[in-house]
Amino acid sequence: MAEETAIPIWLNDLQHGRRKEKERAFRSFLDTWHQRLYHFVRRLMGNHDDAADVTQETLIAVFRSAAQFEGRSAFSTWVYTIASRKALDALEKRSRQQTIGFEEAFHAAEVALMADAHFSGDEVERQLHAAVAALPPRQRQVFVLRYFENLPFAEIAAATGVSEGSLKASYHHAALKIKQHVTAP
Amino acid sequence: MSPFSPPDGFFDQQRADVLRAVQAPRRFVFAAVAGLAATLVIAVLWPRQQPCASYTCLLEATPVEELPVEWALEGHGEMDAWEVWPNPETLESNR
Repeated sequence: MAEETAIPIWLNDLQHGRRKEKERAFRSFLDTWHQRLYHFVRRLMGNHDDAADVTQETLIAVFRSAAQFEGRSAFSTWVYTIASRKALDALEKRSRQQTIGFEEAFHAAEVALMADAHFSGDEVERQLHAAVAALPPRQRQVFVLRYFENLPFAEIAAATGVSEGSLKASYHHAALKIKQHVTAP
Repeated sequence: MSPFSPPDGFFDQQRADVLRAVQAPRRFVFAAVAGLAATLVIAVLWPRQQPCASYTCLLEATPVEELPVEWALEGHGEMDAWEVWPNPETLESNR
């Protein structure tokens, strides 16, 4: 995890550089983070179109608010904070439009993944991602940050503003639901 | 390894869109300033048309179809046919 805690060499230019330096630093940021962010957001959002929108908003927000990063957490945590807040906003807006139970959401997500030309996972992965997509937004956020992005609970707490205790409880509930829906090969 | 893959060319396209979005304000301001400067330069340098002070000048400045018909019929015509007559003093000095 050395990469997570190390300060990127371009960070100072991204925060305080003149226009050209800042743009050059931002290109370096994109080299490192663009694909990684997309895949993180894609797991949260469940479909490509929403993931593309949230990824784009996040990248632009990082460029515009880089000077506000104070270094109290790892830079990666700060980026995940922006991305997960934007994703959560989009998910909550979407879940206000349609409220369905976990089982119904799980089956709908499985069907959608089977028809998704950009999903190449096997059956177990399909069940796993369908179950993740069926979780309530906040549980999904915690599960993805912990399970897929491997962030420590302390960093997730910093990113979400939720206590470590609550996060662990959310993660436990999420993992339990997922285990019930993933059939071991 | 993520089982999700975006459509071909997605990352390149989004990277270009994002870079354009973060550069847009500067380009917009530059374009606005350049447009304003160009307008000012044109306004200052644009040759202003001086009013004619001689008969020859009036003759040259008036399109043929706008010349008085009688004048056209009689060759060099009657000078009275002009609705707006130039200053006689200037006219004399130009003859």
